[in-house]
Amino acid sequence: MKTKFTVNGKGISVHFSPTDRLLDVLRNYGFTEVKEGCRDGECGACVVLLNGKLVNSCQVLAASAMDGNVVTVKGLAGDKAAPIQEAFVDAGAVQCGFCTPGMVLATYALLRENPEPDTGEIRRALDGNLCRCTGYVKIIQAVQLAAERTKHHE
Amino acid sequence: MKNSISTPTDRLDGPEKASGKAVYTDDIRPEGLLFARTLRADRPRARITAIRLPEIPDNYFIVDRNDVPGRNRIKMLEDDWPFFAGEVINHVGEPILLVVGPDREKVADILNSIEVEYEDLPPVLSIDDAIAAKSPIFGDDNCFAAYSFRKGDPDTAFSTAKTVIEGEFKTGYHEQAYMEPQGMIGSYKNGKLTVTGSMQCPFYVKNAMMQLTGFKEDAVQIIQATTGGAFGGKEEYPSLLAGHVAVAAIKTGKPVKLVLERGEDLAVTTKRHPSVSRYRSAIDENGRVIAMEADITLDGGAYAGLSAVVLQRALFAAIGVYNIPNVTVRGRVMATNHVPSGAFRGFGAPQAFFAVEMHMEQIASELGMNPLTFKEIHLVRQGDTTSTGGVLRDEIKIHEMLAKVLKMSNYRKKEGIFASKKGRFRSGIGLAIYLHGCGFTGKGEEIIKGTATIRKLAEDRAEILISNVEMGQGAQTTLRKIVARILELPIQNIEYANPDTDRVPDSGPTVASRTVIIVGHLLESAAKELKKRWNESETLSVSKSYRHPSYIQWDQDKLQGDAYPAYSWGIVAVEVEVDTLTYETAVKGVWTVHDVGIAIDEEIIRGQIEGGILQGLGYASLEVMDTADGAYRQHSFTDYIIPTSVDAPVIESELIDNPYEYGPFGAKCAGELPIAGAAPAYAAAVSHALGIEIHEIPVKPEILIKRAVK
Amino acid sequence: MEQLNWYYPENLNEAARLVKDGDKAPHSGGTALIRRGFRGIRSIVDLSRLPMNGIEVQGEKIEIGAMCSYSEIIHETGAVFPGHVLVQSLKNSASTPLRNRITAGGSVAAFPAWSDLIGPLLLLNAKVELMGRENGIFSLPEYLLRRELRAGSLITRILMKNYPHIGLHYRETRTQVDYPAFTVTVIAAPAGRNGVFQNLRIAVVGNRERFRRLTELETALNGKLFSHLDNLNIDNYFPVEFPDRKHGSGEYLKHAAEVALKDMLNLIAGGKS
Repeated sequence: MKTKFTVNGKGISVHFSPTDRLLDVLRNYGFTEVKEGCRDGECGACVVLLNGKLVNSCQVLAASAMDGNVVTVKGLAGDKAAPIQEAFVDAGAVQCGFCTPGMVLATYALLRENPEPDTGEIRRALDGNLCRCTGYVKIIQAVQLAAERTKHHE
Repeated sequence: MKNSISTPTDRLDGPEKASGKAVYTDDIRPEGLLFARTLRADRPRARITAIRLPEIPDNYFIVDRNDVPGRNRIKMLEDDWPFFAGEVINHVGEPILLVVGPDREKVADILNSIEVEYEDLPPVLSIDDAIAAKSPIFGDDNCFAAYSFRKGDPDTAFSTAKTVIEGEFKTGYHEQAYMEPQGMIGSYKNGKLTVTGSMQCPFYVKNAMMQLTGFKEDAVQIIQATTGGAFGGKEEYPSLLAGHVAVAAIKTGKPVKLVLERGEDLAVTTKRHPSVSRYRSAIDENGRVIAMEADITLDGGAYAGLSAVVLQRALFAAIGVYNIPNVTVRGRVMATNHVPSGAFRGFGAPQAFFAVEMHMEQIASELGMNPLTFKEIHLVRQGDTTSTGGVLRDEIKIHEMLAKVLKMSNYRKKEGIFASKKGRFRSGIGLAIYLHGCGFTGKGEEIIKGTATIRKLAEDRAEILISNVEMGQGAQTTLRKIVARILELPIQNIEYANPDTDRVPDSGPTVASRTVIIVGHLLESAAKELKKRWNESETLSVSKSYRHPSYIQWDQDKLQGDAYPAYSWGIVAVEVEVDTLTYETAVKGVWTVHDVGIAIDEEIIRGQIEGGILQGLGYASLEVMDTADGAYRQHSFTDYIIPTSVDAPVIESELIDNPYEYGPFGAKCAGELPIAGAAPAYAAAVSHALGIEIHEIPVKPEILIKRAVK
Repeated sequence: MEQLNWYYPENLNEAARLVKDGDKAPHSGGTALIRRGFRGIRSIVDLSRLPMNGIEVQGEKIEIGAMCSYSEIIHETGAVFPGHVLVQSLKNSASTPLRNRITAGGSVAAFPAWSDLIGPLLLLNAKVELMGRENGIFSLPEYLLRRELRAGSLITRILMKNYPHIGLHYRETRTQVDYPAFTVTVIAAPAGRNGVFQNLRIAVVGNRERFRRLTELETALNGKLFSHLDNLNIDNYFPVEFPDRKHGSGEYLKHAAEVALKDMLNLIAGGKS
């Protein structure tokens, strides 16, 4: 099958098999920052923004996302993007790093809707992203730090 | 302290990981790559009588034991673990052969159309079955290893005791659940084998590949790829996967990648050894434990792996942090037709600490004593002997740490309030005290004789050359910090790449919490010499090799003396609330103090503590991994559940300085320490909330319902 | 290599025509198809281009387009009334990214035992509008119970009658983000001054029979004073059995369900749970 995706702002023509997941297509076309951690929609390492919404790319069939607009961690733009990544590093929330791209995207999606989330809202927004290294303590602090740093931006 | 080394610095690998630029094994896609998938045994014990292959298209290959150039045995403690199954398979998931080819789906199709005929053999599916040894799978008695040692005169103590209290304690399987599944890429060009992958121990893999292929040292190159978590799960198994891609690459002449899907990873890789521990204590008329007997049995699965060393560490931890004058410790690790058990953070100690801490709780309860007060009375002090007759030479700050934890958690007040709380929701607070022996057990470091090198690259640059890996624990930051400080260079100017065995000396594996205390110490020493000699030449290299301190005496045969050169200590308090209608338990708070000597980076250490404690809490409650007919029943993260951001409790942690003379900047060890105490503290808290004894983890609501005193 | 044909109807008639023969699987973008796998499926009808993702919440009327995601339902219903039973039940369902993909229609059509949506829909007397082999509006229980309604037909809308209520939803899980072993949903009219249960409705989903309205209990409590609850033994009005699940045995699950239900009824009665 064939379609054109817009990934991180650039259009690409892709060929894929009818049972391929969006995750497969993205990784086959070099977007390896989108990770496969579980295949079940449990770990969140594969999340991307699809047409603006945070989704598990392992749970989206490529054929059901024709002409889709995809943003990976490398395509985050705007005033919120870099501060989130920096906040994760500054708060000590990065250990092995495998969950980090997904966490950054989930944080981006959260702060876009809710620039001043409370702890409960942060935990909920990240409930689809598993981390085994950090115990989540510093990840939650990173999101709070990112919110603090971006709330004065637009 | 201002400008102390502990002051946090930004992790150097942070930005590339947060930006998505970090490259893990499955992200590497060389030209002409072939994909491999593994045909695995679907039953616990059988003879393979036939394998019927479909027609194999051009450019697709079957790879099996007949393709092994050298020895079909993974180089480990014993010689029993094959890369590819022989005639007899011994566990569900045992690799039989590989299907290799350019298209992943086609490879899967071919795999699914292979038929295997088996003649079933009687499987050994429990520790009891293994002990009965009716049809042994290892030796005559299914025993991979057995040890025992004594201290003092336990027989007399037991015969003169006022009371003898016995208990049995059990722990289950525990899955590392690193977020990046295991994977390897092998290639073979111009007579040289190169394997790249997710691993903790590049030289373990190298040695295994040399034995597998028969190649010489310079014909085998192992490169660690950025590794997405390991926790011990990537200590042994990577050698097996590396062997698979190696044989496939040699046969096909093309690069071959084998990455496990999560379900496969859960089903077939090594997990924490389940344990059954029987404790017996003799108590005198003053309520003091004068003798303790610990008997620990582990389920090692089908192949020996590193089980003997796991058992050793469990046994050395068996008496916990207590000064008991008369001690008998014995244990064995049994062979069963389960998936081989292996390393996981703590490496035997968590099993022992659960048992000894709950045994002390049990004794206190039966004597009518407050459990914490009871434990306090027995705590070791500097100068005391260990259970193996070693000496606790260094300062022990455990009383100061205890006072701190009690204050942080408001323990005593809560204990009082909770005891008299009535009603549906009961609260409990529990506390565990634990240690971790730093570095390899016993003679291990002497055997490895690790070497670390620092090379001057330019007037203001240097490179660390060691075989230890960054796997999330911060090594690529902490070790650079040590060297940067001594060379007085900015940390960014110290290079430390993912190890490549062609370029680095063998400084030993990234295990046993040895990276900072042992390898960091070598680097500290090398850096000091390099600093002195810096201007000698434009390029300069200094290497330091491990030298065993003469005051550490250890007899490996008798298991007597100092099992470890140093110990790190920890105390954790856990508060829970239990719904006495459903027995669902919520963790309300966690407070903890650790002594890791000196933290090379406080933030990194806290990250280790927070992560380790959450794993320990999972071990005690959520993380159920059990078997049916030799196969794990949990095949996905839907079935094997680990804590999420919504479940994770707030963890308050403090560090206490207690510099160790022979550690870099006074550091001891930290990686494994935090996991040991969380499970017994949680179990103790539930125990206090409900007024019952807990003897098994994971603690399941269904079991509590049956046992709770109304 | 899976041979799979994908169809992308742009209007409802075309979609209905495609699914009518029952040999093409409708796909709304949720997780049911990926979880199930493609064995036995030759064709897929992708519903994403159909005008089915609207949601209307107005007065007594709630109409949810079949392609509406859980996130959208939570957002739209929550904007009108945050305590709405649909918000209470869906906001903790699955996870944030999954809620962005799971659809109302997909969830009803697949009806897994762990669905958080079915309980509230049952209590709001939801009806499904079908197109394809069957055409028309059917009550939700009828749709769930009659297999023949499901093959060859597409859910286009879910219609229900809203009324002011207190909505409570319980999910039996091991962690906070887990597939529930079962759910219990309760709605009741807000208490008047006389402290009487009014318009109380209770549904259990995930039991052996897959779902059940607890009409016996509703009858026993509706019109009665709240204090009537104190002496009521829930077990006498709970003719529901559960299969063993990884969360626990059927016996344990039944016990947990009864406890949860009692708690929710106490909450409605204004007392502490």
